[in-house]
Amino acid sequence: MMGNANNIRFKKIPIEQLFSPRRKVLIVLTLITIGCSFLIELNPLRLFNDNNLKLVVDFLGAAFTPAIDYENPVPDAEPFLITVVDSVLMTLRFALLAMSVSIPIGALLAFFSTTAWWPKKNRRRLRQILMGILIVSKSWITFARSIHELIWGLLFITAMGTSTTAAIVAVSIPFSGILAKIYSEIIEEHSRDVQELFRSIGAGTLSSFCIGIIPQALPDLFSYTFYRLECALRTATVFGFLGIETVGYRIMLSSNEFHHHEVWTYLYVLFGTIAILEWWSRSIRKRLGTSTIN
Amino acid sequence: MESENRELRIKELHHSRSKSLFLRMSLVVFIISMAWAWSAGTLHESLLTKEQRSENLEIFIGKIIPDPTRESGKWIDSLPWITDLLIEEQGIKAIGITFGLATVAITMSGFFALLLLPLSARNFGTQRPLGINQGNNILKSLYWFAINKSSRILFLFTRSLPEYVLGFLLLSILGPDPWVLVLALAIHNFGILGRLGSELVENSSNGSARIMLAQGGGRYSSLVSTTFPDSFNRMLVYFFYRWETCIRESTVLGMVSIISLGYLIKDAKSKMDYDRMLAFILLGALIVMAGDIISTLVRRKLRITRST
Repeated sequence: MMGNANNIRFKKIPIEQLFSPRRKVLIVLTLITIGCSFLIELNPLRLFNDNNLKLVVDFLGAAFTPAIDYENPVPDAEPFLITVVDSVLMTLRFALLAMSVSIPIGALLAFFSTTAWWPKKNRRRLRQILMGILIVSKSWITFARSIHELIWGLLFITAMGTSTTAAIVAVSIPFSGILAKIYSEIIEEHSRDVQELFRSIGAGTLSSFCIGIIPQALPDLFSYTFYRLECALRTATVFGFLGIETVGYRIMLSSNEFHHHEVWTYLYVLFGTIAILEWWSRSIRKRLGTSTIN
Repeated sequence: MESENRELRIKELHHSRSKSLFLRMSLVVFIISMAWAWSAGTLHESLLTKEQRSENLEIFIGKIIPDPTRESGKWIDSLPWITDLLIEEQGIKAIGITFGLATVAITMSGFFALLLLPLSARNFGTQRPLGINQGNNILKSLYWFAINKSSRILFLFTRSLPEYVLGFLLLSILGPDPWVLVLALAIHNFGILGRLGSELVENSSNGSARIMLAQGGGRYSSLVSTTFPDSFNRMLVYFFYRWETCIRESTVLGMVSIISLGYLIKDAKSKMDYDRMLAFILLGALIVMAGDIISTLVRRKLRITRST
């Protein structure tokens, strides 16, 4: 009898309950992370040594006193604050130029990667041609996206020399790809009811797409484009490290000479610019009633 | 008469549609800034002359094709070259490092972002979390206001710094070490995951959390035991979405001169081995695509299964 009861009690606490799906996921993720940290030879001890600590304190200490003038002034140089403003404006300009090239290309690619506007089923020949175009444009989108914009930049600068035009073309390739992917997803996600309505009273497929789907999708498209502008600003900063004169270029120069106070000035200005842009984009999203983009 | 009325009504409706001055002004500002971007001054142009540039381009294009193929004209001869690239020149190792970096970094940033969530979510980091009064002490209210704001500003500041800039600055502090790349990725994504997580907590129903708080639970205990398990799947969706972007970033982060794929690419470029450079770039593209596919599959699965 006793043994039987024990058996029943034992069965009531199956081992699976100790490892609920959530707990399992957490355990697996932790194990994978630990494995990965061995793979990349991450040594916690190397993070904490006296030399590092001194440099970290030095660098973070400079955060409280950002520079308002050059730490090592050169006679004929522009005033420091003008250089700061100039570099921010250049960053903004770079981002805007890159976006203005990417948006039309992205829209065009998105248009050819969606079936929402395709003609009726009985026009098979045309649909086959469109299918071919769709496959080409979708593969191009995947390819363009999977190479980082910095690498595109490196390729173009290697081939064409360091120039802003080359950099903007380079940024536009992956950015138009990402825009196209999200644009086409947004278009596909919207309901086709209105489009069907227009079709049923005799509108053509293309025109019913333009008046039935595009106006519905516009708020989402606009929100995402704005979010992408934020990303473009960050990318523009990073392109400074390839020699384009944005904030990143200035950060690189100042950091190479260990002018930490100057670095912090640039970081704060960059932070301010992105904060303003983010506030703007959030306000727009709130008014358009679109959700956060991830 | 009837049709006139109808037209009047349509006009009325048109006038009373929701309008936003802010949105209109935004559009105007956007257009003006675009016009400024295109018209203001000259851009930094290449110092090279046209001849030099076309010569460069010729060298570049000439060197793109792998050495063995260029000599024999057959693509099959490049197979040993590719295996050499993967094994002898650490291509395989670079793949592992790229995945490893992204995984360690995203786990770190996820962990630290979670720690701050109860303070940074607007509905939790106040003197009255979820509307449950915990006393009318003004000092304490101010204290919570400051805590909430500073954690949000911390998220904003960290996510406004691009990974590459962080990597560069950390390199000058820590010297060449994998920590540089991990921390660069982790700091930036900490800000992003923190923001996404805060919004998740703010938009959840938080019913059980409110009960726990009313019975005297703390902010941490009530969030950890109710809302976190409830929105576990959505958090994992964000986690994998950021993991995917981490992979993308970690293919280039090595360019700040720490051995990884980006380093190999930059190294090949500086030695003008354009064939090797292109091969590594394509390898990077394959890694990113693999990361994309894994993340998409996981996220699709997470959206379907119930959170249990």
